[in-house]
Amino acid sequence: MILTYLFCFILTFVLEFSIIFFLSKENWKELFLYVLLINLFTWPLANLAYYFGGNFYLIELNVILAEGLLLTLLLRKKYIYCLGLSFIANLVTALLSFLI
Amino acid sequence: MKKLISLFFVLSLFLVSSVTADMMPAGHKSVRYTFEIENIADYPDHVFILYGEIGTREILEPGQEVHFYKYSSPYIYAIKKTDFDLKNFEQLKEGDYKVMENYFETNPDLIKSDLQLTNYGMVSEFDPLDKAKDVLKIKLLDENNLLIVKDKVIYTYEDGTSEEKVYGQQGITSSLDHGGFPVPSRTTIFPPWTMSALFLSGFLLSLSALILIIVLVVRRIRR
Repeated sequence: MILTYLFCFILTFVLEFSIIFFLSKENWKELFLYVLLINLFTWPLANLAYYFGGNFYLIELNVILAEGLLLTLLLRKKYIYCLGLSFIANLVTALLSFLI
Repeated sequence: MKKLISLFFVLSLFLVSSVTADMMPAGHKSVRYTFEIENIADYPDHVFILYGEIGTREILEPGQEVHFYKYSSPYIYAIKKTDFDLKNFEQLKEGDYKVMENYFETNPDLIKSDLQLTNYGMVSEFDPLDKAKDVLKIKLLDENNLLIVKDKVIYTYEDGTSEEKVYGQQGITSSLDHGGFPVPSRTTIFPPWTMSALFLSGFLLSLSALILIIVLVVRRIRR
């Protein structure tokens, strides 16, 4: 079970980091750490919320808003820009789950 | 260097995609879903076709257990053998989906059933359910109507045991789950430690990450 969770987390992290890195062209080492920490914050909470019957779309919306805010604080960019990054990264991971 | 890192992540993305069969919320699994039309052999003059979005297009044979893509919600169509051109159909299958779509929307010889099929979906990974097989029955087939109903569902569990659940008179039971399936007798059994351990570790992980983020932000502001 732990392995399943670990695998899912790594998959989400790799995808989100790749997308944000491609789009923002930030320093990859710093970005790696930021995206990792942000995902470590949002991913377990989102899974817990989902596990306890939370609405999938509402959870995703909260994740996008929270990740956008945290990226703003860490990257020191405009909130709307970071919200866009967060939105695209989360949208792609969600869409990929339908395609695969 | 940046190009190399980019390449690595693009490659890893595709590798991961090919390794995993699915992406789903952690702690969940897909239940294999199949169906079979029990009395299809009683209609030897007709061809039955399963058609739906996302590539679901299959000619149904007697005794065949059919599986389709998890996000597809196909319908079953019937057509008289004398009106059906197999070669043309096979060519359509290989061609553009819009041509196939047009074939199913405009062909007057095709009789569409009202029953829309869906997969069983996801369950908790602690759920013993492994497979759900619907057994369908053709109730009526004439020039203009095709009535197919769900007769029963056979649930198979991870330990190999199985059970049959009969649908109600109208193909629907009073206690339903997963969009129209009768509720299986055996449901999720959580090990006693699971929920508290999951909750605690998830919460602690999030809290630790948040503290580290705050530390980083404060350090950046002070710089």
